Amino acid sequence: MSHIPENAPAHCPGTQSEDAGKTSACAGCPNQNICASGAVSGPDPAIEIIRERLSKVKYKLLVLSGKGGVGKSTVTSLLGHALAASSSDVGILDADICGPSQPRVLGVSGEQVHNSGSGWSPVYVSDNLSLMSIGFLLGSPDDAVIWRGPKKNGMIKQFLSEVDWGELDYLIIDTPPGTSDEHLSTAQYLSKAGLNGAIVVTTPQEVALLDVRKELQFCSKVGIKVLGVIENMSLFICPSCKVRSEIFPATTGGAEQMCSDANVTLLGRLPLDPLVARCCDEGRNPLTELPNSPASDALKKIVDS
Amino acid sequence: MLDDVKHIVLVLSGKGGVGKSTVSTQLALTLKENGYKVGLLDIDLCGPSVPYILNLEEQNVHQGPDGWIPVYMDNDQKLGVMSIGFLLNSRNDAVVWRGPKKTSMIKQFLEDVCWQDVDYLIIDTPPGTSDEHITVMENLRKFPQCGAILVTTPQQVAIEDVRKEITFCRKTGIKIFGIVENMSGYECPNCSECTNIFSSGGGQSLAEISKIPFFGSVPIDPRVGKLAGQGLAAIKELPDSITSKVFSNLVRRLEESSSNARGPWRLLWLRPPALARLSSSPAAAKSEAYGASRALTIAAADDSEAGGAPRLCRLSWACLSPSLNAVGSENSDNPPGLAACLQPAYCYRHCRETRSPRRLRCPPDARASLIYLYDHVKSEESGKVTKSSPGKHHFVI
Repeated sequence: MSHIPENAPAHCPGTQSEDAGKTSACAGCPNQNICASGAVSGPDPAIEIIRERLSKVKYKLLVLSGKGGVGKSTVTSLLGHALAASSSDVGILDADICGPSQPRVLGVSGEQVHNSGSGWSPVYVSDNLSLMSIGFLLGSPDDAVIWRGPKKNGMIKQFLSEVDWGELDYLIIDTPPGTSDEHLSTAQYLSKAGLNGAIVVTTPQEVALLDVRKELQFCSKVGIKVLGVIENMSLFICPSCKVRSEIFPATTGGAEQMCSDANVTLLGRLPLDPLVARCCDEGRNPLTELPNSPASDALKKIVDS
Repeated sequence: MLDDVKHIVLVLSGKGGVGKSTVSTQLALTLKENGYKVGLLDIDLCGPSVPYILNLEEQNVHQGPDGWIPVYMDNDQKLGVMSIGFLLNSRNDAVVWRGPKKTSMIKQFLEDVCWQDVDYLIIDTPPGTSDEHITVMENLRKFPQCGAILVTTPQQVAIEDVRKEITFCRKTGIKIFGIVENMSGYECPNCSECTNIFSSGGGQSLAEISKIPFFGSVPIDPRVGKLAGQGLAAIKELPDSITSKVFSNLVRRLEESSSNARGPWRLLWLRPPALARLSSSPAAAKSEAYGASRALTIAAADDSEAGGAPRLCRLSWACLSPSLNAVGSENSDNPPGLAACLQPAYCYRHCRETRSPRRLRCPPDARASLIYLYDHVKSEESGKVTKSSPGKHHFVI
């Protein structure tokens, strides 16, 4: 990675390059001496800061999916609730800069983030469940974050290095769909902090699996351990007749087939439940509201494993 | 490359997995069934779904003399598709790219693909409001024939992201054609009870709040889901389904909104015979001016036979509305009327008074066209461009 500053002169070799400060394009650049001295060619100092900041966090998990709308945010929030219910301290970081859903799903939209001497304080959903999201920093829900990659990376860096999580058992990071800036940055910034692994969310259709396979390949490229796959929206249970039907038919064997092909564990399957969707819209905790729903049962099994 | 494309439709949504690709492909197929020539561009670089949905995996893009040749669905070449999926070796390959690389790829897709003269170019996008979207918007800003369809699902979580996308469109000045709500309800195959899995009415109310036309709700229909991967049009395979009705309605609304739209300004270079016809009968002129083109028209009169005035002074203009009734003029808010405007004497006087069309007070688009026209006349005077090579938006009648 070459790290060319945004305002660099044309043909800048990049601050991390071996030629930094030495090429003809560097002549006349005000930063030539700094680049030539090699002071900047080391790793990003933020990585070290992040390592320290997150040293009190026991487990750091990423929730990933190549495909959008498969329920990453829902799964993240459900995991958060479930882990918090087993009296662990849980933090959730919403790294989806352009479409932050966590504030709504967890029922804390409209809250504010406070700044203190030790950093930004996350918003507490309950005593042991905290959340940080860009949604808290926007003036109105209509506000769009129209940013290119570098700005998003800066934001994620700040989230990782400046949020005062305190002591946590779990930090769950919710990501946007894709395999691009946000994912690379998160992986890079957490490289020293000890990322425990990723949970990949998918739905049963081939269109989703196609993208999720790409995500699995991304994980192996960047060296993130895949803890397992959760298949969401597996079955639909009709609320009136309790008959199961497949809305999104798994024409190619679904997540099970993909998992055995890619040699990863299938953690479990969550059925599609309209009541869970409604709870998420209203920001209530589906696990306490609907303790007996099949989705809750399936989730508890996943958490226990 | 996009100059010859008549309409550009962006399919956008802040949220992922709401069915952008499904809507894009079904829209493209429906347009194709209606006899249009359609292009479909997939700029979702990290998760291209269009090749799979249309059953075009394993196909390759070829390099032609005019640029990249898109993959065609059939031999009639009625539907051309371009996606990064065609450029990957294996369908499992991940494109792990940061913004700048994605930006240049999209630029290539927009500039180097030889779409030829397609009627509709549908652009399928990834979720969000970031690199890909900014790039597309920057490159398409100069094409006034461009607009967006927003796809949403009914839940609040999705609506929230789509509201951000509306803000994006408004900030960047992309026209929004309308909103489509996908995955509205599911009819249980066992008891036929319709469940609104993802609640209901969200798209409709969003459309009302933000004053955007609502194009309809597409229910969850596993039969339509099964069409994915085969490249079949819902309108052809399932003509009775609600989905196909929504899509044919969508196509009709698109046709309407593009015919009402103020399309590109056209420069009509009027020769004296045409000029005479125009000034004598607006109705005849209407049909002459390309079927009263949906575009506002700038007419420029070349009255070289009216006397030996300098060439620049022979430039006159009139802004004709589609009905050719209202004629704008730079001098007053009360236009002098079409006939007067097109009189050689008027042209002469007007041009001598103003000297340069650059000073004209008119809408920015018109101004750009006039400057173009002005430059054209100037280059003509210096002998660099001959009159027989009209520009893309410049017609001689």
